[in-house]
Amino acid sequence: MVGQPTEHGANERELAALYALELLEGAELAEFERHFAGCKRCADIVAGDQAVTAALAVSVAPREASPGFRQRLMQRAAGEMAREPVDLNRAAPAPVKLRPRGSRLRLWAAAVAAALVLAMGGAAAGTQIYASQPLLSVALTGSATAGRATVVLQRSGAAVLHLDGMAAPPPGHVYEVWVIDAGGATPAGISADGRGSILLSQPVLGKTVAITVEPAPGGPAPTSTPILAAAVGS
Amino acid sequence: MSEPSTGGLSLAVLEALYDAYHHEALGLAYRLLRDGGDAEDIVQDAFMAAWRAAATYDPSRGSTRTWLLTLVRNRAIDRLRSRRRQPVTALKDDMDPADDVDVSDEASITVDGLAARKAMASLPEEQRRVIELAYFAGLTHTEIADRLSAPVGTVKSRIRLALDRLRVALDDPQQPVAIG
Repeated sequence: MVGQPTEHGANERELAALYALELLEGAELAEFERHFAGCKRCADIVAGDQAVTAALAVSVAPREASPGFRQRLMQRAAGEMAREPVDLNRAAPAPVKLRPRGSRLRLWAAAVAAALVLAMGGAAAGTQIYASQPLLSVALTGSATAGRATVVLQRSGAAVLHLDGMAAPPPGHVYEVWVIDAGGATPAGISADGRGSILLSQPVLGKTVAITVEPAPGGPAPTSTPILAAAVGS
Repeated sequence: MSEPSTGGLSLAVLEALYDAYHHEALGLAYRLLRDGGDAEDIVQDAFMAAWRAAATYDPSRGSTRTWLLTLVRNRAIDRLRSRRRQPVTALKDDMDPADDVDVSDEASITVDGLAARKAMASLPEEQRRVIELAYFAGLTHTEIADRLSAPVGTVKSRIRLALDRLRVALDDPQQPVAIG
């Protein structure tokens, strides 16, 4: 059993080793994370242990890919990017209500503006620009005291989350992005430093985009409540 | 710039990640899974996941490689665990990790990787064994204790000692390891 958050003894140091090896699970993992969040010495130990595991990861013989492996990977990625055009007339499923819904008028105005740009020769610059044309922009709001996060939905259907001036996550943690609908929360991206842009891996229209703080390197389900969220486009 | 196509710039990011790290990713996956097909499956998934978040990473930072290989290892460990849950134990999962050192490939291993191999070889047998089971087989400390018929407390302290020795050995490869 892990001691009080401020206690730091042999047990905590042993658990730090297991944590760095990604072998803690369930209740032990949750307890250690509570301790870890407030323990600088454990943060230092885990960082040092992770340097060891990083070296172990490259201590094995490299291996060639089989013929066609690279091509299959690129085809899979290209397939993901070639989304069907966004159907603005299709009724979107009700998003999880964390924030008041954005204005439908703004969505249509953005779509009209995009169509005008295309009509005026935007297409001459190539389908790449067509695909990345911003269609809808939604600011995430919530409890974070610094910085902004904005989801931009592109014409292709891809969504990019722009982070601006968010505080760095606590040591050993990352920001994880989720797309939430009636079926639950799906992982959609990671930011280690709260800056820059993330291409989200999930469709967002009609859903909620949320950010939580998670232990590095992130996980399959949120372990805390979102610090920022917004419903996208309905 | 690549040929005009939807998302050409983003595919270039995936290509850069792949070209930089696929040998190490496949090497790690194969070492963990002992099956070329399974290794390629999880490496493909790991690159897709890395690519989706790649906009936030500077490819020249060393930590991108570490992060990507963590994605590979986590997926491999999940695959190993699901194999272990199946009624028929896959023979390849029981192979002794110590049999896997292939010196002929050392020329293609990085300085860090060679230092780690040397550091592992310098560990007392019981400490090397627990690290191999923890890192390369993804067994939890209770599973390792079962496998070795040792107390859980002993396994936890051995893992801690082993990581301490590896840290010292990696920080200064010339220094004899005196602790633990």
